[in-house]
Amino acid sequence: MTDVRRIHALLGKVRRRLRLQQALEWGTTAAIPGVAAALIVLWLGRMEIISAPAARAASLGVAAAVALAAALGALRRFPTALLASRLDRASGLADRLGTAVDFAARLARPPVLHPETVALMEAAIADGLRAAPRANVRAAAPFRVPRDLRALGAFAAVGALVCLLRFGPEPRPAVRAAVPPGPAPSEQTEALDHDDVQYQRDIVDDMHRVAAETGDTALEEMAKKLDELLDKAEKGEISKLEMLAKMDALEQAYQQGAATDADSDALMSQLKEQGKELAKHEPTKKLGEALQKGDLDAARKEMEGLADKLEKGALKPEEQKKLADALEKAAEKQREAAKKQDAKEAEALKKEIARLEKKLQKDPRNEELKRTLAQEKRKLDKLQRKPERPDEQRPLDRLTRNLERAAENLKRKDDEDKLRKWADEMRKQENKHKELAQKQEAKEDAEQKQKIDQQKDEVRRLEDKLKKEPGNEELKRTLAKQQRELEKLEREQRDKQESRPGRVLERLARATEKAAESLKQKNDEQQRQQSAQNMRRAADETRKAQDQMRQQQNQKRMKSQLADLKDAIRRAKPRPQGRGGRQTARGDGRSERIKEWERRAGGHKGDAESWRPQGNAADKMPWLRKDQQQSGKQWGDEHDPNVTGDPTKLADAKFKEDQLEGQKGKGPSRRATIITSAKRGFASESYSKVYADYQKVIEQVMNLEKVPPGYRYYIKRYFERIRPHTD
Amino acid sequence: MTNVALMNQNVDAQIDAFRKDVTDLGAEIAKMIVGHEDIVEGVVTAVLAGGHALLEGVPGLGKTMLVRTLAECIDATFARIQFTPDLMPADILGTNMIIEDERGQKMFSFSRGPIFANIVLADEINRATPKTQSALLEAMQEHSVTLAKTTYQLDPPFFVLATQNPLEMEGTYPLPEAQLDRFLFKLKVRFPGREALHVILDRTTGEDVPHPARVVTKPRLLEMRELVRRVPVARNVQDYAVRVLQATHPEESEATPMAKKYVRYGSSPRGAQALLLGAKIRALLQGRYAVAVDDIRAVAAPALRHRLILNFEGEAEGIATDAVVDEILAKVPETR
Repeated sequence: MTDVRRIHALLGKVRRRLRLQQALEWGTTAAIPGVAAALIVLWLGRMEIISAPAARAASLGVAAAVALAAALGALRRFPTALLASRLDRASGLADRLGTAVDFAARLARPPVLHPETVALMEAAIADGLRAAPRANVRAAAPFRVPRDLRALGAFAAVGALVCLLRFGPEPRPAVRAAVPPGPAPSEQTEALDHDDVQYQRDIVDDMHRVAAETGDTALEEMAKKLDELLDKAEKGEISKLEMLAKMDALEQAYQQGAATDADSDALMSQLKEQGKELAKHEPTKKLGEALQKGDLDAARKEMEGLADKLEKGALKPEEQKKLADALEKAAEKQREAAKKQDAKEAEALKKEIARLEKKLQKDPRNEELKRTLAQEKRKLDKLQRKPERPDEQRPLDRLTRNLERAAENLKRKDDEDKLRKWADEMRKQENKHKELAQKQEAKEDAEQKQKIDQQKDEVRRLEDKLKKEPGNEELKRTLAKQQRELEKLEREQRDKQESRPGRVLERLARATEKAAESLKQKNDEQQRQQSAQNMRRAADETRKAQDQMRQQQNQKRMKSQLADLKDAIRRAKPRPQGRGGRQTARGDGRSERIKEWERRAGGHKGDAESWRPQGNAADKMPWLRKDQQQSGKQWGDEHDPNVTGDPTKLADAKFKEDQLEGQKGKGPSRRATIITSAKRGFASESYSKVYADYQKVIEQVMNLEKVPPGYRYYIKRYFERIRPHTD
Repeated sequence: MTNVALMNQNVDAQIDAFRKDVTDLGAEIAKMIVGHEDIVEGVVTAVLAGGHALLEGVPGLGKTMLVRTLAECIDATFARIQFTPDLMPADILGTNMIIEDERGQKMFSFSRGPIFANIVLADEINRATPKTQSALLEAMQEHSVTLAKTTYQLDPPFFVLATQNPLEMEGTYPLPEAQLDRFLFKLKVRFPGREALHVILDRTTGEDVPHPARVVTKPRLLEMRELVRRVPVARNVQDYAVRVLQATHPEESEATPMAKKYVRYGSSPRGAQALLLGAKIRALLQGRYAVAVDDIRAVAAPALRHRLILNFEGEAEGIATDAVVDEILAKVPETR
């Protein structure tokens, strides 16, 4: 009779339902601080106080805490008496089930009770068992909406809103080279702060100067256009984004407009080597020395001088022979040097291939590595096939050379006119072929550029999308893939341009060789003319090499300058309301004062009026009485507002000009120069020397050291500020 | 048939008999008392529990009639004591008197007072002086009377049913706490309703005056009392009674806000005893073998209302102890 398992089974059901409800309650309650914590994690993540993996881990931790709270709720212990009471109450059983369970337990224990009491207890248990089917488990443990659900809903809604908000620092650019760090440019067209524009103008002025020094018209053209852009930016007619886009286009045009060839340093060193050989021979001694010094102007002039001599027949046959030998040897030397260089490059490539293959063995699934290896192998293959190339790749050149030689030989025969006509025809064909080849190259370039532009657009689009959905892993992967593709395309373009047959040096060597060949022929008038022409051609090639080297140097320098300029534009602040321009709403003339300060810092005489508030006296000093606002004519009874005038201005003084001699001697110490400059301005000659030393160190450090990109701007700007003022 | 089965059958029979006797008793009383079923049930419960009852109500509501009827329905002796200010303890308990025997010798002889009846009606108990009221203390608790160093046992069953008028406070002596605590229940007799008044008038002003029959004998009453005391109580139900009792004490953690604010002293353990005994009888009357929480709740008010002593604030605010008990029942959880 004391078997109350049926009642216990019912109580078990009630317990499970209560635990489930409790899990819901605790889970809901815990989810509220969970949402709050998730919001904090989101904020920390967006503000980049914590990294993305840390944010993910923290989010998982929050979720785990909520789940743990729910689990603890589910594990809560419910006493049997409580469950029985709930069931009795919900089912209207007047504690029959609870009493039955209690009596069953008591009867199982030793204490002896009165038989009549025992009988009553057993009767109560039986009564409980009879009442069990009437027990309503659902009513005893009903599932309710968790009491904190509304609060959680409110929190979740707020959380969702916060998630939709875009806040935090500007995301770092994924492609560092493409978008240097700095404040994101605004799309609104706002006039830029004069101070910022001034800094940008300094950079452009430097470009003008370089263009004038090197005669780089393309650079001059670009600098002018940049000036126009800066004018527009200062007036607020163009947004930062537009400006940057236009600058990109200008830069690309400038870089494309220039021919590319081997590194200018390498070219110069090879020319010097050639000069060394030429300097050994008397007729080409001066030419060789000029090349050795790197003075390509002098070398060109020397070549033209030799050509003149040949034309006029001023050289004796022995001298001509010596000249021919010298030129031939120089050309040979040049070719040997080129071969050595190729061999050196091939060796380096082999080493790199071996290293990559070793790496690939360790990581055979690395697709990027495979691609790089294939690329290196192609380069090596190309390099190894190079000796064959002149014959294969330049059939037109060879044809021309052979044609010229044939013409010379045929000149000696009778049918000279016919052959000349034929040669002219062939030359026309050669030019036609050259044009076609150039067109083909241009077309390929355009296609490649288009591909790169499309790829850049795609990368930008993905970056924008990623800003909106920072947690999208799939998007991140796609972006990384597209960035790799972009880098690959850019690399291919570089390789292509590097391998293009510009080869000034080769052309120069060829011209020299031709001149030597001509000289070795019979020494008649026609051959001299031919040699002189070849020599002039060599001089022309030298000039081209010089121009190209200058252009390459300019390109390098401009790349850095343009990067600085872009960075400056990105970081430029919009002009504050009422403060910009020469005449502002407040009329405080801040920009005038800045210019005045710059003039004074540059060692020029200042303008006392520029420091005064602009406008009439009443506007300038409204606190004065009307009579006080008039300038006084006599002293003692009137007020002159110009009490703070320029102390150096002697309005009515009689000047006496004196000639002052400068002090001769060692001059101030370096330390004294710096201190004086800091106090009086940066225009002294001594300071210019100090700054020149500084500049070298700055450039060296900026190029070699790992300076964070964000700091580069400030460093450069600082040194730009303390640059000696020469205007 | 096993012993257990036999025993269970016996239990069922006992309970059935108990219910029948009580029902009969109630029916007989109902012949005379109309509209006070709850009071009748309370009084019968107190009789079956072996306790005493205090009836409080204005004059003319049938309090005395109820007691007289009860006495007639139970085959027991009945005594009525009209409490007045000049009533002396000896008037209740009895006294030693000097008597002469046949030989002319004088001797003390104890003359029993009205307390020596089975059912004693202490009418308007609050009119007697405290000295006289306290004469009942020993009789009510110990069921004995001690006089001149001699203790006299009262004949069971002994049941005191006192009445008091709540309106006429002049010339009255409110019962001391010790005296009140000895009453199992305090029952409030309220004015009957219209229908009940009609019945009262019909019965009392007509030709036929009903006469209640004796339905329960003294031995049967004692048997019924024994059965009541054997009714088992589950631990959680008993725990509820204990917590209700604790809640009447302002210093206990179980105390409700009203108890904390208005109660000076809570109920004594006798309150819990009254709760359980009353609940046991209610369970039997409802055909159950064990006490339920609802039984405790049903008897809580008559068992506790006279055991709560209000503080000055409670008195000044006119707080009824019933309100405190109601709040306790509402706030104390049935299971913990």
